[in-house]
Amino acid sequence: MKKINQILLLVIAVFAVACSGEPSLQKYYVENQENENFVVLDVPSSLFLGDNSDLSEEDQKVIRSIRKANVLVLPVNNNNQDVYQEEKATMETILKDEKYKVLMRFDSSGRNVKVMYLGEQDAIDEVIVYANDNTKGFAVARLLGDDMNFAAVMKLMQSAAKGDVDVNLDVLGGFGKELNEKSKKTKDSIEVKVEM
Amino acid sequence: MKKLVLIIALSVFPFLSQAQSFSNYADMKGVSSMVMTSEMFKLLADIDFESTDPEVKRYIQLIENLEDIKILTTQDATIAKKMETDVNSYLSSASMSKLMSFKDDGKEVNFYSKPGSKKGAVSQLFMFLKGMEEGEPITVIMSITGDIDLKEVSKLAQDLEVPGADQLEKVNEK
Repeated sequence: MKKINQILLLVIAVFAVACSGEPSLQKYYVENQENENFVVLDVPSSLFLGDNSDLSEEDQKVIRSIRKANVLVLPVNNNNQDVYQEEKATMETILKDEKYKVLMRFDSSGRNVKVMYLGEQDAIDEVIVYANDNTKGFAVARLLGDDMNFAAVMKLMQSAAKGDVDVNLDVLGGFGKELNEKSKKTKDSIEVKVEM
Repeated sequence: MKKLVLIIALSVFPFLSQAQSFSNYADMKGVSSMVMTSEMFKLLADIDFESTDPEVKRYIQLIENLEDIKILTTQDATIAKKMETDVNSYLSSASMSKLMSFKDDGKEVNFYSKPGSKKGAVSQLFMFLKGMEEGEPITVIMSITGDIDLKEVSKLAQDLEVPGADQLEKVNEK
């Protein structure tokens, strides 16, 4: 009897582990890195944040909390409509998970943008921007870090705007430029200005 | 048993009907929708502006107490008609009272509100706008929920770059 209980426990444990292996965004990235339909870009923060050694210790700590950015794009063309529909559905299912806290959502005919984050309010692990355009494809951009503090990062952004922080976006080159501009366009119109 | 089912059905129904009344528009072709959630406002309120200005403080307090902002816009005449019908039935079912209405630059604007915790505050602010904008017909539904101080709302409008924001700015004037 005891043995049966043990086996039962084991089965439950295995089952639980198997179930928790739900499709995560990270897994999706890894699985599709080699997929020829996707364009994937992975940039460590050191590459786009440049040299900031003359900043205050506090600011540097904030910068160090940002680990990397990565972008995954599935451009749509005449030959991959099926793949696009399927992958879009998969991606949207992944992002529906409640652990991704939705900040903002924007839908317009055939186009949508969703901004989410993962983690706690003052310790963000991941900021995710999902953008889709039925005629162009979809893109998922992620900013990954360890316990990023939104308020601190925002403050840093303000110094970046002032030119104190060395931000080098050139490394991204012309990557998905059009898509970027496209999503920017939709975002600009719904932008909430935080500067006061 | 039957009674239980009925009770559950009755208690769930208002939520369903309320959620369904407008959320189905979000994915509709010809409709633009925008949602900002409380998570967003919590983050925004968290930013330390290092300000002692009481005006800024009141503003942050307003943001902190917001639940969500939803905006639906359409230029399609058929959808606009349907929206108007839905708005009317929503308003009568949600115990909202008219706050004010005015005409502005060819647009007809109506504001409705649900009473809030204290005087001068509302728990929901609802706007329905229809008219012409830049020669195009436009219909906008905007719903703001939370603990909203009506005096501060017009300030929010200045920072919100959305259709209907100009009208929102007028809430304080009247």
